[in-house]
Amino acid sequence: MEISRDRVIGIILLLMAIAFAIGAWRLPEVAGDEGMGAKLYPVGLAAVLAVLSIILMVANAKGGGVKLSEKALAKGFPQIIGICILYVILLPILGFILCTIGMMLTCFWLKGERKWWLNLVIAVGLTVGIYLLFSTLLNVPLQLMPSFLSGLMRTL
Amino acid sequence: MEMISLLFNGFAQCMSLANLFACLTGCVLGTIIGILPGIGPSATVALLIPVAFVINPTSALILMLGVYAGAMYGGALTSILVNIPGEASSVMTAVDGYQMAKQGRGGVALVIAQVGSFIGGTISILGLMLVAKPLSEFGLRFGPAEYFSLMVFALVLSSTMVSESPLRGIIGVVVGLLLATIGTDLQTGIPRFTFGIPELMDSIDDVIVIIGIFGVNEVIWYLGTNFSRATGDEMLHAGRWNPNVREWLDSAWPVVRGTFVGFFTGVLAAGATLGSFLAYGLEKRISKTPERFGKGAIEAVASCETANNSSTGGALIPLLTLGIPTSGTTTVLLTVLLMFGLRPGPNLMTEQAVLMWTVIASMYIANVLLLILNLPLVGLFIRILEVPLTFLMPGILVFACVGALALNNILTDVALVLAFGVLGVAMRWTGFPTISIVLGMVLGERIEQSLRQALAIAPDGFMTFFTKPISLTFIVLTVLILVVDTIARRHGHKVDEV
Repeated sequence: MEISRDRVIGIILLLMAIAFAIGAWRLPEVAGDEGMGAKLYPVGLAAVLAVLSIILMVANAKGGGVKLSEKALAKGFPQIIGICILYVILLPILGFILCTIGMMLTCFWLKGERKWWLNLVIAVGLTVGIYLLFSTLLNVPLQLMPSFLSGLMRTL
Repeated sequence: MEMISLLFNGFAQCMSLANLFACLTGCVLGTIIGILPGIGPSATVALLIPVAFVINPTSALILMLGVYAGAMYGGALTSILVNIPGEASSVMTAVDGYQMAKQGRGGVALVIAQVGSFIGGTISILGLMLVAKPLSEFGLRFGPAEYFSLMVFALVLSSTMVSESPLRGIIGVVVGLLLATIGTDLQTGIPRFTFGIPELMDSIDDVIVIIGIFGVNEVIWYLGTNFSRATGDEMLHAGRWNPNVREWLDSAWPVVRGTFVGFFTGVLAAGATLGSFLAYGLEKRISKTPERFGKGAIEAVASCETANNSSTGGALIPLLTLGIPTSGTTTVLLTVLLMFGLRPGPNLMTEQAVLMWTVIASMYIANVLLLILNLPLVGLFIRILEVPLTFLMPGILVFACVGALALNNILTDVALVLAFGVLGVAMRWTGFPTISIVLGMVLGERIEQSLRQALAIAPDGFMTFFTKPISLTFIVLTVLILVVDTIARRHGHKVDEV
């Protein structure tokens, strides 16, 4: 039997509901917590979710979303999600400027923009623009340089 | 009378340089994103939240409502001339608008669309002014039990009507409500589902969820699915500009009907997209020559554009008077209001009268600005389409990440914003409306508090929701919607979906 996408989602949601219910059940009792306490509300919600996920699995309701191309599923999404994960990991290591320019250049290249000098100008321009907007106007402290460089500067 | 003096005071407040500039910036930005496919008004307003931190609340709200209004205008432009609807709400405009442009009447369609938008937008603000006060007074009679039932009603309404499958909408809401319980419980102070992670003690920030699900989602979706530059049909010249008498007359009634349809769908949780679909359906049904629809009927363009604009004012009513958001953009606005310490609800219109009326007055000004701005600048605006989104989208992604960082300056927020973006993509792919989970998370805390407060003070336990008349009404309405919706879908009258 082929397993439909709804079944898979249903099982994930059911597991999520069970996890929340167990988590809530293990919360400590608090004296003076009248009516429906801090425990019972998430337990109730988890129960509702469990019932709904079972309905989803059984009903096979219509409206299965968007059909995506093979290319998007095999290449497009893994690529961009990978870029996002790498970006978060590398951000504190490389600093904002280097990391962002690198990320943008990768995106442009993957999307078929091949004029490297134009890509570089746009990536640097956007990065510096966003950096100036947030660090000077909005006072968000962005790490300018790679951490190993600033570490090196400190030891010197 | 008091209302009129408040409104005039509002106009006077708007005339400050900062507020006018905010209004103009919002309108231009809104028009641009309305033209660009892929980025919607909710995403833009969400991305503006970090910027709003540093300007004063009045200017920030004016800026955001300007974006909201501008996006509706911008969407019409590309629908008519290029057959690319920039927004979901202008999909129906493209159907007949592009055909009109093919017949050399693109200019006429644009003029009618802009004038219709203006009328729809202005009248809906008038409606907002008239209804806001009595509704606020009605809202004062609400206790926790009434609020709980109202919120359940609003959640069910907005998650079923926008979705192809109401079951998925409701599942999304419940997941949102569950995620909202993460963090320290307000009444007892015990941490729930935090796994000892200190960043989660404070619960997941609504702003993070909104930027992730509305903003990052769009970027990842675009970059993941597009492998070549987006091309619509051949771009057409605007052709004739001056509508003749017959065309004006043909559009008059559709504009009036579109205004009402849009206004009520706005009030009733459905938002601009459904408003324009319903307006189109209504015009086609009552037309003597329905066969012309889809082949360049001016009535269709007029009513759709009017409806999607008038829903703007409509959607603000439940938000400002009862604190209930019903669409993506109003959810974002609610978060912004709360961020500034303004609690939308019955008291908002009186306690913050000056601010609220300034914002309302700014919406009139935005509509006038857009009318002046858009008609002569059509040629310029249409060229925005030539900006390749491949370059813009990674920039928006970085903007979203830095915006998330701006909130608390912790890297966890950046990771969360991207994670919610991926979740949004997964939801779109599998047919779960993204708005449902956001609504659940944003309203989650208030729903839980009002439920528990209601039960704590009720002598009769759960029966309290059925013995209080206002609460009972909302519960009956909720059940009714679910029943009617299920039956209607069985019989094949599916709600139109983009």
